[in-house]
Amino acid sequence: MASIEQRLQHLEDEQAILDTLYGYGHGLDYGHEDAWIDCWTEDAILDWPGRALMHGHAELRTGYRNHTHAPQAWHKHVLVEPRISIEYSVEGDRATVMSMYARLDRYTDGPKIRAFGRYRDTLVRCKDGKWRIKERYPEIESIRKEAPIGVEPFPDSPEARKALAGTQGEKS
Amino acid sequence: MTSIEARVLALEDEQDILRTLYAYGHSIDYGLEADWINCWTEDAVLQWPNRPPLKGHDALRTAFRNHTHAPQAFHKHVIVEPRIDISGDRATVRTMFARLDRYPSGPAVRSFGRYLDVLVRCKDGHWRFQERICEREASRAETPIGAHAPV
Repeated sequence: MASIEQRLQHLEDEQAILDTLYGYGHGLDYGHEDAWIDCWTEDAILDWPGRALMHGHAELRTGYRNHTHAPQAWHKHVLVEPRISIEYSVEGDRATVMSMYARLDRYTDGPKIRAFGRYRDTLVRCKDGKWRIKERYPEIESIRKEAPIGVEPFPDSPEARKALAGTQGEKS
Repeated sequence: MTSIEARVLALEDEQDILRTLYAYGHSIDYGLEADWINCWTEDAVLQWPNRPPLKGHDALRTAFRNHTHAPQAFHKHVIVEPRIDISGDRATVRTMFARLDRYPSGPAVRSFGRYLDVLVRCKDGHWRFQERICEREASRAETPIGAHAPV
């Protein structure tokens, strides 16, 4: 039976992991570069579909600066239903998280869902106690071909073509 | 003043209830049958709109197998704003939901509404649905790519 301190620690860890997961979307949508970079371990991997794999803070920062932010473009990286599983170990505490996401964007005829899918994440507890993302693999399952206001179209990739299969975008 | 033990337990219960609520959506979207069945008590009742109530694991399993899952159809059963009210070993939860699907024009909301749930703490300590009533308030007539037509 876990002690009351261990049980409280687990609850605090889940909250801290959520804080980092939410920090990703807010940081990206509103241009909070330092807060966004602070979501990642120094050696973190981010594999945005259709783009070169990013490894480490320098590449993440470049990827971040090439992404749109408000007020250039208004979008929302909405994350829901995070399934968090924490493993405690003397070698280091680690969490795997599976979340759903939807990206909302502005189009000429109003707000729409630009894409949805899921995030497969690994986070670790860092020396300063903060949980940071060590790996994020976003999977896109459905995308809209047309580009939102102020945003580039999705880059072509096998993942994008699969997510467009059966849509009007596939034919264009 | 409530004891620390009781306060921690209340927080753990909320987290465990959320885990079950989230497991419902992830498992039906990705075809994780055992995960989905494990969300329910043996005598659970699920009331989907415009269908007879499903009662017990056998009926739930049949319904799960008749439902679409990735990669046949990619959809998302999204829940937000769960209002959890726990009384001992029983909890009532009201949650907003939206279902996202793939359409020829791109991703879109297929329906929204709310779930009215009753969950109970089972002998193994986990919270499971005893009852879920799905109230659909808005629905798109168009059938999504790969999914079944609306009932």
